[in-house]
Amino acid sequence: MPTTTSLHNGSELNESFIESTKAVFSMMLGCTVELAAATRSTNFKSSHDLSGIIGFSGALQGTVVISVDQEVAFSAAEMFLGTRPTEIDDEVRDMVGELANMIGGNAKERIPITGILLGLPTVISGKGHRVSFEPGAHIEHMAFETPWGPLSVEIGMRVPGTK
Amino acid sequence: MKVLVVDDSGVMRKIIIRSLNAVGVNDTVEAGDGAEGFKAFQADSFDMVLTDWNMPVRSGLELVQDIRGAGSQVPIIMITTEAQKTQVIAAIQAGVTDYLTKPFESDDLRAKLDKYVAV
Repeated sequence: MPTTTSLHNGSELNESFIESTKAVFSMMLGCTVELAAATRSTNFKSSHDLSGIIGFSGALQGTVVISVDQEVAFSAAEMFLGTRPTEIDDEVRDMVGELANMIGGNAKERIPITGILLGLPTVISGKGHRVSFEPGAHIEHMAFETPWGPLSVEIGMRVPGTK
Repeated sequence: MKVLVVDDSGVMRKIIIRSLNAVGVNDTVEAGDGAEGFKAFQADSFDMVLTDWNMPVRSGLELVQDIRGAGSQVPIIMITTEAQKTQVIAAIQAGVTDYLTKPFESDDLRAKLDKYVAV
């Protein structure tokens, strides 16, 4: 079986996450999200209310963080469940984790590398919370606009054996 | 018709159960991982099982192996983000009846359910 072990460039990775984010919102929530900005940094600090974190291992290692504000989380929960939450409870956190799971999982299928493993999602909530990546890691930050407000996708990833 | 829905996300279970309700299935049992799912499966009689793959404690693939190992031929639909060919083949070899990848449109899920609810 042919096995791809490297990415030609970082844009393939970014493009996978851009397309997966769009697909998840379009298919599961029936709405369009647009990429507003894409930047690379070594200093990332979340300024959103909720973050869903997915770990990648195997042929591609690192972390992806999907962050939204309360308004986006509540609106998405209303679309999924039919009722609008009034507070950030376990169900809202669960939904953010599932969004992260689907975005990460769908991106994994688009990345031209075989043997990638996906972990279970972890969710952090609270204003001003901080998610740290590996020191010195290059973090790709993609800012999206949803109909309800901003969503950000941060990727800190590397192929084992490369820098 | 009684359906067992296994997913570690309560939100995803609700989404699936809403689709089941929409095709006329109202008798459902929920479980949050493969171990809980097999326990529920052994304690009751089901006409269909819908399961995620990646779950804590015991995965959906292990649940499928447990159910088939117990001699049951109940239809099992795997609903998962895992879509690589090798994984789909592994699921089929384990005994999965049908496969739906996340994300999905509600019509896709309903079409799958219709297929087995009609039977």
